[in-house]
Amino acid sequence: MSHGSVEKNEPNLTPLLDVVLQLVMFFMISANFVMEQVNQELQLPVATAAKPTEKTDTDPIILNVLKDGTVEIARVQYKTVGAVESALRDEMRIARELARQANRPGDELRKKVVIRADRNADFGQIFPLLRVVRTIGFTEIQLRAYRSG
Amino acid sequence: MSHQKKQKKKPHQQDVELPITPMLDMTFQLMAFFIATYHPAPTEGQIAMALPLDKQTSKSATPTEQNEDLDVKSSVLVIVRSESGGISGLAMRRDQTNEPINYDSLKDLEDALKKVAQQEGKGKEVVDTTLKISADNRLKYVHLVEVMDACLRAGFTKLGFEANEAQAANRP
Repeated sequence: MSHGSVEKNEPNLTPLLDVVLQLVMFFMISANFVMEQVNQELQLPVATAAKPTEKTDTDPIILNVLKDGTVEIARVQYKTVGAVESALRDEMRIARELARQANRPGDELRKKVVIRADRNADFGQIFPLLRVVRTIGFTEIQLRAYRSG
Repeated sequence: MSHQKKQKKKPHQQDVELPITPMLDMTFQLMAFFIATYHPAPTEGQIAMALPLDKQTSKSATPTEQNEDLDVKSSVLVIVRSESGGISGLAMRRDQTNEPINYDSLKDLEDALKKVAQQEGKGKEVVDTTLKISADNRLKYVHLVEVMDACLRAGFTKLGFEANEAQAANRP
């Protein structure tokens, strides 16, 4: 009896690694990276006719309306409509200055204002915000809801 | 010399192996982290608003902007009444001269709006008419969105709000 050549029996890990890397990529891409301006704890209402959100060149101003009526802009809470108005006027001033520096007058009016209101907030808390936003001069206003269907 | 010659004839060959195990370990850890922190949030959608210029703003606006504001030919008004946060009454008024017509359910309102949209749109898919919603302060946002959803499904793409008497009285 003669002994044949000794062969190493090693598992082929390459396909396993391929699959695992693909899974890692999937989870990395679909992971929720928390945006600073978005309050993830808000429960938005569901709308079947809501359109997909558009990506814009400029960052929108996001107004998170909590169910008690408190408005949160970039993690700062405002309890009154007057305080929100003051904050929005500051935003408008900054946007106007940026538009002036970029030599594109009028760009500040095209800055989007997004209202993300909790499903249990009262309309009486949202309507004054819409009025203030419009009075300041913002023209692009959006409401947010979860999409379904 | 003879020894050196032997080495040249049979060079010592060494297999280069890539150590995959640490990489695999790290990859598994990454995967475990992403699986643990994976929370598929519902996708957010947008409802664009068509709000007319505020009267205070339009006073200081240019004449062109004023004309655009006044150029709303006819508007449909949907009235939403609320007593305890829910919808307690629905009505629609086509022209300011007409009396509002009441509807029992959101489905009835949507059907009526579809008919109006067909008339206003004259066969086109996109209705150019602005639809305004006048809602009570107590109405919960979730129900407001239900009404807006019905209006959008009926074919109206330009939605706005109109202040009711109480809201107009609270004007700053």
